[in-house]
Amino acid sequence: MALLEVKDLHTSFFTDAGEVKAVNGVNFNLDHGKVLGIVGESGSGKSVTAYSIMQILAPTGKIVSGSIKLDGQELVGAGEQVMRNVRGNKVSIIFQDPMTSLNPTLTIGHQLMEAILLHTDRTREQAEARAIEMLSLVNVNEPAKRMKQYPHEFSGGMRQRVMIAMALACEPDILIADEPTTALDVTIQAQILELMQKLQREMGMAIIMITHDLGVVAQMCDEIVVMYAGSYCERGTADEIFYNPRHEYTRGLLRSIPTLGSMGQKLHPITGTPIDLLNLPEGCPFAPRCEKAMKICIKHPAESMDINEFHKASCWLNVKDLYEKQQSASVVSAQEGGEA
Amino acid sequence: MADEIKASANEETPLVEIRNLKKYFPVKTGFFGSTPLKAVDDVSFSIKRGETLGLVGESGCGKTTVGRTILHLYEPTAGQVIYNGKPVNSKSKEEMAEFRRKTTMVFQDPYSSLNPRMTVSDIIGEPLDVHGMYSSKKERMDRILELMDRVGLNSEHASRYAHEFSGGQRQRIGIARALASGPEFIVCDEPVSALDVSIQAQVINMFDELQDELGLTYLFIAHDLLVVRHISDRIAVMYLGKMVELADAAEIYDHPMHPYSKSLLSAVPIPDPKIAHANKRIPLQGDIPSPLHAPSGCPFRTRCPFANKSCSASMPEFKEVKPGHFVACHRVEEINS
Amino acid sequence: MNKNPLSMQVDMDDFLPASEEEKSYMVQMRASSTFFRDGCKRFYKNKVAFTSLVVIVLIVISAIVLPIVWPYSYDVQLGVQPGKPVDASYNNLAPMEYSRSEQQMMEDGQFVFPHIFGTDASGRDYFIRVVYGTRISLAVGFFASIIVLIVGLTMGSIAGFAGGRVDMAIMRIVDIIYSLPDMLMVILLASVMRASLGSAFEGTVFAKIGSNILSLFIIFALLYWCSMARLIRGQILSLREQEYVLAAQAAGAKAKWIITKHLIPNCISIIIISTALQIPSAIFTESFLSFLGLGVNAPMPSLGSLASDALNGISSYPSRLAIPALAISLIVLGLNLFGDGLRDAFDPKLNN
Repeated sequence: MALLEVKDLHTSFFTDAGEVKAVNGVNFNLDHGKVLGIVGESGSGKSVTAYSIMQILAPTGKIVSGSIKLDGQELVGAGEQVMRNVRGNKVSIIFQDPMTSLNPTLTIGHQLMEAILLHTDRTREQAEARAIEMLSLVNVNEPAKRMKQYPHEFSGGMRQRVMIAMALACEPDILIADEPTTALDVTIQAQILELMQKLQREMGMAIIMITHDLGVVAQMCDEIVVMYAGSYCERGTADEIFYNPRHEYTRGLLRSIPTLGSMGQKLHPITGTPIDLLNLPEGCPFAPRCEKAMKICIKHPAESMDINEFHKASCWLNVKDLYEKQQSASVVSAQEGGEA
Repeated sequence: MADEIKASANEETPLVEIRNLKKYFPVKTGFFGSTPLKAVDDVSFSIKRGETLGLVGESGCGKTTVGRTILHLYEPTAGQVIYNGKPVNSKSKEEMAEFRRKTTMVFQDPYSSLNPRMTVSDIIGEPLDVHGMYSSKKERMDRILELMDRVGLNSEHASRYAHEFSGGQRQRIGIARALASGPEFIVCDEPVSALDVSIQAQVINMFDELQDELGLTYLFIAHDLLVVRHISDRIAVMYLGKMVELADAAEIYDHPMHPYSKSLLSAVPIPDPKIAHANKRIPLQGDIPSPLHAPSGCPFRTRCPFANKSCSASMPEFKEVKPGHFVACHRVEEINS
Repeated sequence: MNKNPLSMQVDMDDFLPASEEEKSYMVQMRASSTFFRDGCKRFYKNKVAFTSLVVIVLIVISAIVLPIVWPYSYDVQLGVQPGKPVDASYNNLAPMEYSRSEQQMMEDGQFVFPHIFGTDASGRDYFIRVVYGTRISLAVGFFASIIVLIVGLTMGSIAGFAGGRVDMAIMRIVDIIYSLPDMLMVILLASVMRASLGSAFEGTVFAKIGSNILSLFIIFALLYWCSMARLIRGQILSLREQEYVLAAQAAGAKAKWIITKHLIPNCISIIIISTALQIPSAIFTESFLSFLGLGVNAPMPSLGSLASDALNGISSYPSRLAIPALAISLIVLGLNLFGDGLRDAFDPKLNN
């Protein structure tokens, strides 16, 4: 059984201007000890998906339908009591901006110990020992001294390390990392990613990595979910997504990023502008920007289709290919029948 | 003077040249005293006409300050900016107006760089208004519509406000404004880093096309090294207000010589799982020191795996190691042999 | 793989490429809307603020129109008529009560306009006095706020734009004014000015307005601009850091251009909001001073002086105190709610 099963998740925000369908039918499974990447642009619903799992949505946000099962336990509609146990103990989250996630008026040690005391029945001394242990685990030098310092005495990279230490202090099964390195510099980003990989190997938790950076995904993830405008485009193993993309959006995305070999050449951008989530069209949300859009794409959203064992995609082009294959097969078999 | 006039006629004269540029900001430390924050410390380079120079570095390395000081948005603390063979003279009104017409800037944040109370046509028309570059209302509007068309904006949107557009479209508005006064030299300060991946390529291509059509010269500041490599002819790497390496784009990516450039380039996440897993990173220890307490000698020595005594003694000279390849490192020969 | 992977039947025609038109039909830009229109929409949705706007408009209109059309005047003692003995039965009438001679006239079949709120101790129609008092109070509040706006805007924008020592000097002055006990200062200044200005304005138009009101305005100009100046300074400091200001500088724009095109338009909503919230506090101060006898000159009434006069007969005629007090409360509450609504609708920092 998968550790986390998300089925047909729909989350909306009910604003003054109307219903914003931020997540529109997302499906994925996460196994123990795996790294899942959720990739998408701003407004694709990748963060909202994560917040829906934790049920830490803004007051206007609501899970409209769908199911989120953690270890077989249904979380949608489970109530605040259950969720409090889930948050921190079973699922932890780190955010993009380590600056705003730490309270500036409390010492790092205080905040770390608070997190530990809240979720376990350790004594203060044990919690302190654990906090120091966690800080050295995330490669913070002189952890005992650092415990007494305040967040402003830490650099951005160091703060993100503290956030990771805090998130992992209770050994959660799943760590959700929401753009953990976007605010950091390249060399610091490399340090943090390396650290996350090391911790993942040592502690064996599963990671959900939410990012817009395909480079980060390529380095970190076993499996990838690609999202666009709240809908999921495709999911599969990293190799499948990068080397055998079966959704026009993924293809476009991979074509549009500069690579080491693209110097002096024209890039191949996706045309058009992102869609307005308040006016989602009936069909595939990517159709207005899709070069290969067909009449059906405008009328109906594509259903998810198995490409192979490791790969699902929801794009009408795959259906078209399949139909054409079937037809030519039936033509061939008809011809063969005729010859015989 | 005669030399300068002769030089400006020469095709080979760089369009922009900066010599020993310094920009210090006073920072209050304590109640009375203030220490200078050396945002840019003794930087020299030149940009040829029609060339794109990429400027990379991590946050706080002074790359944005370099761009703004070149455009004299900040008055340089010391050093010279030589534009088209002539030192920029901020005292002379006429010369400054001319300089402002010929140079311009594209900003990172497509939200804070457009005035929310102005219509698109007024934003794009601002440089025209400031320089009085039209004789009739119609001429002004025609020019604005032409600019909007050039950057791929629908002319029907001229009377809308900036907040009604998406990030990519806003950045197009910013580019149209930058082009309005007919500039030769544009400082692009992280122009794509706030944009979505699929939009970035549209804007990068537009920079490419505009350069081909109008013969523009760019100083392209960015922290995304793949983007910089794609667009730049030459690349300069900065660290803590100093320039550490400068070379052709391909050369610096294939054979980086400064230890900082080496680990910076190896840290770039490559969007390809096989290459990413095979990639050998050169990890850097620790964080960038605060520019207020920059280390003595070579600024990088606190994180450099090769640092020795000589590195803390003096700042290494920025010297040409190979033709067109400049490095500031005491031990460059030993490291790269 | 041969089975249909789909739950629905698909026509092969559906796989024809879609035209650009069909694609563009899917994306529609939202209707154009300006900041101002958006704000108005938000304001209109806010029931409380909109209701208070209606109430204020009604009060303002009646304060302007009623004294013109009303058959009684605020300063005419009805019992005192030329060539006749003073008719004391006009004094101290209860609401909707008539004097003896008026009762006589009604018996003769003549129509007599009722005294809705009765009359005061001098036989003046109290309703029109309250309406007139409202007019004065509103006018004083409005002009005082304008004065505060002008002084505050000037000082604040100078401090914000010039920066450095000028900024430092202005902000220290603000700190000093803040540290003064303001009510005491107001009372002191008002009594000093009343003495000194009173003679200076003898015979000019200012005499009619009254030296007290003039000194009130001067007090506002001297003491009450501080918070406005601070607000505008802060706004200008943050606006100056915006990249569009830098862009204008890079284009070669001069200070005047930047101030008029970028800084002021982006300050306007904050200016309007805080001015709207300044009016009720000015009305309060005026009423307070009038109540202490430092307000408008008799016989001109303001809501504060009406309340003050009513104190003399509070046991016999409590309604004379209650009516102006209620009027002040209604106006101040309405203006405050209106100002809050404006802020919610137009302050960009509050909405996402």
